[in-house]
Amino acid sequence: MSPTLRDLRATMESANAGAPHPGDRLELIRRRVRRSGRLRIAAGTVATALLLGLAFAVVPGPGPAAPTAGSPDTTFPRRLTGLDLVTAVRYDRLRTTVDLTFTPTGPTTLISMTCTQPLMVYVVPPGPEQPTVECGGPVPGASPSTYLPIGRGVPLTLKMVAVPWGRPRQSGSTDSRKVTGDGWSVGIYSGTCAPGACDRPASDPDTELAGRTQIGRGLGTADGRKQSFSFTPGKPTVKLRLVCVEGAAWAVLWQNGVRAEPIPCEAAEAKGAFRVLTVEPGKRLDLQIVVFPASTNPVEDPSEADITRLMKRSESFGGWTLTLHEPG
Amino acid sequence: MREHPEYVTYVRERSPRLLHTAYLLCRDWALAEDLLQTALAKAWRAWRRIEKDPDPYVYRIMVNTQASWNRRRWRGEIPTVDPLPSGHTADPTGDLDDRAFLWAALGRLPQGQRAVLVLRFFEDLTEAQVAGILGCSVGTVKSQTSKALAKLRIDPEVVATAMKGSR
Repeated sequence: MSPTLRDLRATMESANAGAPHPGDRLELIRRRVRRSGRLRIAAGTVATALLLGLAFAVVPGPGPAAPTAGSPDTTFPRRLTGLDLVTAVRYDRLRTTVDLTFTPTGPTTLISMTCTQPLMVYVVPPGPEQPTVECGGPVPGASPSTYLPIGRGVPLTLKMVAVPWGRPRQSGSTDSRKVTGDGWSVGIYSGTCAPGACDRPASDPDTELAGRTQIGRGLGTADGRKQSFSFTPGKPTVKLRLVCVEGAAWAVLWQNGVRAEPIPCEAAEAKGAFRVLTVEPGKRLDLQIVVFPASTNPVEDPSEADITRLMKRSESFGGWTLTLHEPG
Repeated sequence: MREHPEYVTYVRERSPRLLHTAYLLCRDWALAEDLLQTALAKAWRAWRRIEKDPDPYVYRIMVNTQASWNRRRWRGEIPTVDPLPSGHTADPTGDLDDRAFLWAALGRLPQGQRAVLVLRFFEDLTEAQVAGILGCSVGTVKSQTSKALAKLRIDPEVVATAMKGSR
């Protein structure tokens, strides 16, 4: 006798012997949803970056012309406000993007401009600052100086565009350092800013930690997990430097169990965020730190419960380095 | 991650039955669990849209996901001739033997035809509902059902078992 629909139904109904039953399927599904959410975010970021790259590569737009090279300018003095000349370049064209690459030699970098007519030079350095440099005359140092908060030893490329600003200046000055024609020159000075010699001391790690000795170091991933450090300080203060990279954004620090204000380390970039801890020399100090990625939004004036909740939900992005320094 | 209370209730109440359906589609408990969780995770994202009647959406995800897994070589389906899983003892009436051969024959059906049979005769859905889930016409559901049942009837092992039983 051939099988009937009743047999078929019975066969399918009876085919559930040995069915496994996970303890909490709902929790397993929640994990899946969270994981796929992270994958979607990552994929979206990559796709956006690719699209932007493609758009800039393919779409011919009315954007700025290709960067032009300048010629060396020997009219700048070797030193300005106590800083040494790194490079000086003269450009002949206005309203054109130019690239200038140099390597700072000290924690303070100064941009100085010379020009035959008043110019406004828009400089795009890395980082959040977007300084504009006003060029008012042909003498180096005569125009307002612009300092860049950048570190030493790392090559840096500035993108600059000069546009006319104000009334044209009469040329024909007898000053040997003047710039003739429509050109403009930029001089980069770098070094350590001596107090009273230059206007703005740099916020440089080396300066922040000058005269201090490193006594401890720790590193980890920004994953919302607590890490502990213990040591015995020998001086009444300890300076802490926290550097967050690649998505690590903010941190919470406990000193002997007492929680301090959150540290926004991502905003401090490679310089790192600094905190001075008041300690008792010779007494053991317990530090605990939790670093969160940028995907975990900080809570204003968080409670311990808030921190615990964020720790449970935190993803893992980026890394951090913590160093501790005592006065020498 | 916020989730609707109705979703939690749905998962708790319906997942045993849906797991069974998934098992009938893929014939492997581990894959069935994976298939079910995949479908329910997708349903979570679309819950606002489907909360009034989530079953067709979940069925459709399971059928489509199973089909896409089958297209991948590393999940290539290997039809099994094993009878029903453990838990069965000798049956003097022979009903269980018949079911074992029918179960094996079901495994030899093409994926689409098996899905039609599962939805029609296990989930007791109408032809129109199955057509909506599979994204095909009612006529296609009818023809696929007819072909699948015909294949089961002429399956050599099923025929041999039927002949043995009729003697």
